[in-house]
Amino acid sequence: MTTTITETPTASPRQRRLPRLNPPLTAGLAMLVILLAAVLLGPLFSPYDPLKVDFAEALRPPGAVHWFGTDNLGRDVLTRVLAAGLVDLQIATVCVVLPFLIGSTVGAVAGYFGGLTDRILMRIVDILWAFPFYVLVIAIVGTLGPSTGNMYLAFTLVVWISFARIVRGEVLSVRQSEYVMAARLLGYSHLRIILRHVLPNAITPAIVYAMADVVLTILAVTALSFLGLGVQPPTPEWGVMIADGRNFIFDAWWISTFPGFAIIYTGIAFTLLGDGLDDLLRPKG
Amino acid sequence: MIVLRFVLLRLIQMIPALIGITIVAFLLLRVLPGDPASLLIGARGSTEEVEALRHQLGLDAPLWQQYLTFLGDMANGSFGQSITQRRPVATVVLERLPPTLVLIAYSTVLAIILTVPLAMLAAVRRNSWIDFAIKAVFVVAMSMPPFWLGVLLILLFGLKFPIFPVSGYGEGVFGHLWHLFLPAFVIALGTAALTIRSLRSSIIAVRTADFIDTARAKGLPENAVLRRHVLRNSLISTISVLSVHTSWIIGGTVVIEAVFALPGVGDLLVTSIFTRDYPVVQGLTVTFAALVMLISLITDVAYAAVDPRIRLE
Amino acid sequence: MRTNPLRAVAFALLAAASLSVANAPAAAETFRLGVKTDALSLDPIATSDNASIWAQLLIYDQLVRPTEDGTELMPGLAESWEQSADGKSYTFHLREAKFSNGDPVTAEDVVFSLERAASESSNWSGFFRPIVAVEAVDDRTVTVKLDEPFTPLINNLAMFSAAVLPADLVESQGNAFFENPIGSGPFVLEEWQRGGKMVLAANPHYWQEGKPYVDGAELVVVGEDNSRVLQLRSGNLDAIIGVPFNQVNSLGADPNIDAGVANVFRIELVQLNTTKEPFGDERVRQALNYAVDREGIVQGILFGNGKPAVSSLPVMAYHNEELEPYPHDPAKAQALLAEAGLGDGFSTTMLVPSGDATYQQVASAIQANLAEVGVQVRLQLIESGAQWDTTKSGDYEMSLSYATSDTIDPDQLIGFTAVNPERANAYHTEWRSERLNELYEQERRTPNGPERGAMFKEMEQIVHDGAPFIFLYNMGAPYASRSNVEGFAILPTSNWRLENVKLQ
Repeated sequence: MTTTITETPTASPRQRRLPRLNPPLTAGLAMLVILLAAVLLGPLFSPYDPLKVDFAEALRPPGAVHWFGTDNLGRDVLTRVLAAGLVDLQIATVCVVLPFLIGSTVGAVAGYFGGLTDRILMRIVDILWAFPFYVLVIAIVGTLGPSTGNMYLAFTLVVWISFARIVRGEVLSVRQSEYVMAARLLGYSHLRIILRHVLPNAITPAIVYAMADVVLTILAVTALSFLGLGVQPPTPEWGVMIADGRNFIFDAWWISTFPGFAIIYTGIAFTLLGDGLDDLLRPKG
Repeated sequence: MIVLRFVLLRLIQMIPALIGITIVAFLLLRVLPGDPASLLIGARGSTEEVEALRHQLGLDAPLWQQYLTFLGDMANGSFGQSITQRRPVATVVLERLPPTLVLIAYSTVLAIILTVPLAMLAAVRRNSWIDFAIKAVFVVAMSMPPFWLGVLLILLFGLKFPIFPVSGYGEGVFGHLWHLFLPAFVIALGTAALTIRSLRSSIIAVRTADFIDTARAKGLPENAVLRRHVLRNSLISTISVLSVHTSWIIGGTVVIEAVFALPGVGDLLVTSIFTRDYPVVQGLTVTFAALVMLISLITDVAYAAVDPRIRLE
Repeated sequence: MRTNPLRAVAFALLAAASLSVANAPAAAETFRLGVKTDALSLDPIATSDNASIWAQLLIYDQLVRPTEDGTELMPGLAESWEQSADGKSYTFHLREAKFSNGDPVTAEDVVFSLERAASESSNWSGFFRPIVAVEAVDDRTVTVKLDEPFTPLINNLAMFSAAVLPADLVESQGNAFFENPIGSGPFVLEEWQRGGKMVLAANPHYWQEGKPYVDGAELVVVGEDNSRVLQLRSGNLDAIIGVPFNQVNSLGADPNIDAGVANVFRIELVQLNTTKEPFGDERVRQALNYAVDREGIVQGILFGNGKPAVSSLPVMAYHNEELEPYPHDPAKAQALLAEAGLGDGFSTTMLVPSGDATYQQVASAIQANLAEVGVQVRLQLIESGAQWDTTKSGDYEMSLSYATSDTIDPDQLIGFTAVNPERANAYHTEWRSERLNELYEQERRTPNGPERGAMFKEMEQIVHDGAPFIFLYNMGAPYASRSNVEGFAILPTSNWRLENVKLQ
């Protein structure tokens, strides 16, 4: 997105700044790269199949052969944690990107045009805002039946309002700025003004929020799967693995402990990334 | 008198939103694909039996008519009839509400107890190792899946240190507080992770504000400044920060109740979804939304009570 | 630091609380059973969930009831009964029983209850459809009339939905009756904290002299499996049901705890759609049965708490003892496939119910087993309601499912899983055997006894050979109780008779 910002040359309110990596951003990026490398490459190098059942190898504790042990079907926990990471990251990405796109568009339209459009859109946002996130997502996925597609739908329906609110607020303050006025006087189309001049200057807080939202989304996706309302086994997924391992916690702690660590690691990576981006992109003072 | 007028005004303002909420809760279960009747009757029904059930549930009527029936059911206070229990939805929901309300209040109090001192410490010792440690601990806490933590706590306290019960709601006030400690703690930890950060920044902002400088200039010792001015203003920030996260806390109870087997409305929501009791699911979504609105009203009043600068207009 | 007054108060309260516990009068003997889910309703014609059914069976009685081994019927509210020579009517003689409010159980109550169970508002009316009339001959005699002989009927009268209710109270109170129900069963509802626990007191008027032995029983809802086990270990509960399979052995090893596994009337199987190739070929269906490692699944997933299945019937009355489960024999499976012209195997899809961990694991194991003989199975998860619709419409190849018996008579399950045409057309496989259909017709007109038994044995043999399903296993129902508990067991009908429980 930074490139888009530099593309509004006439009167960007912000000083051009060379992107300088700060400690949280560096740490977050490093953690994310390691995570992506692990989930993308790990399964290729693993000698095990995340789905292969082998009762003879069941419930092996962590050791030299199975680093994270095996579950009750004899599946390698490390391989499954990595395969699950890919599944969870994919879902989380879609569940953040879709609401981000829709919410930002609605927020920009509402903020830019104002008036009746704004009032109607924001009324809808206010109403949806009253529903607790988990309640609405569980109700939607529960009604439609558990599946990945239904999870995308539920998250999009519920989360877009956050982005709409953030972007609308920013657009309201950008709308009156000189360069937007100038663009209007020049007779540019609304679409062009929104895309070229308004959004690039209003999207930063939404991007920062998106990073925090990845953390919440991963927690929610795994929670839904844990409750049996999300990803369905045997597809490896962190929440499902924790739920599956729950009854073995007395004598095979490793089955549900490692996926928990994986969630925490991912959460920390995106939190740091969000903090770092916030420092980097938000104007100071 | 002013407070009363303010509350009344806010209540009146809530009416259109409430109507909107009923529409959303209604549409949620009607417009989305999937036919409740055939799902309900499941493995036991023939096509005729499904049709009979559709008629019995009123699902064969036009949509607007179904919505009016739904509104009528709300107006007469029943919220419709539970399919699995054959009792009014309102009765079913109300008898499960107390544990959830206690859990919400309890975890809010615990969250405040965690947030205020730690945020102040982090702000006062800004950029020290202690600030960093608090931040680190709560970044981890924020990323920790509450259901996973719940499972581990059940193992820890159920098996190794049986100090706190790992399920149930208990009897009497002390019983409730004792039984709900672990679930409330799990919710509070996740909430505190969010609130500590906001409160820390607002304390830092207040501390560098003009009027604090004035107080210092007047020769007040730093401790007194902190107590008298910073804390008071921080309290205001805490309330506003918490009110932003109300919806999060309330939603969090759903998952936690399921993990700790608490007989609250969150547990009821999950059970009703699995038993396909759609009228109850519908009633619960309305209840939860109304709860969020009510709590935001309460925080607004509390906000105004703490901060004399805010006018109740 | 000053003494905190609050702390002093708290301490005093705690001390008082502990004293009051110590000085409490010798507590009435209450049996606390940990269950997974709460009942939904105590109206016997409205419910189909197990928790409700089990609670109802403690509060209400039926005319007849299954014996504890689930193989035949014994007297309930009816002391004795006889069938007319033409098989078209049953006469029941009621014992002198009372409802928990002290009112006598009369023939009018029976007539009302059975008519209600067969009425349109009943979810279970189908089970009472052959009845054309229920008549009270006198205060303690009831006649049930059928339009043709129907041997399984008497078993349906032992079902929870045929509970005998006090007619006048149900009529005057309507649905409110079931908030505070009155029955003639061993227990009476005292308090119900929905989602929390159901408190039952012994029925002082119960007709079985001296029972129940305990003064009361509590059904405590603890949804989380580990918590339920922990509460049993700590002594907060006297017994639990729904022990996780992998924990049965370690629980049994605890000297204070007895663990057991009940055989219940439930069978797990894979439906094979015989209208889709290659499942129309009997050799292919048999090959799939040889390919699956039942013993491995029972050991690996159920931790030994189940039995490999021989047919689509669980072990129940008239079971064919001579049948052996298909052995795990991949070589034989491959030979049969080759014979059918499928030496290179084939690819197919199996429906798997979503939301159930055990099913997913079993599905993975079947997938692995079949891959060994060259059959590639794609798993397709499906919501359980939609699964029924899909298999019913015939739009599937394989489907992992189960069947349960609501009565102790094998007629229901044979009709469901082996007869075509019937309600489920051999449970949606469209498989049919004319000989079996013939036997089914005869069995329903033949009075109970060895002759009827032989018919069931032959039918079971035919299903076994025809293999319209991959027969999987009879899953046991694990339970555990503290060692001071005597007489707690899960019956084959999945419920428990708490009137037999003693605490020492």
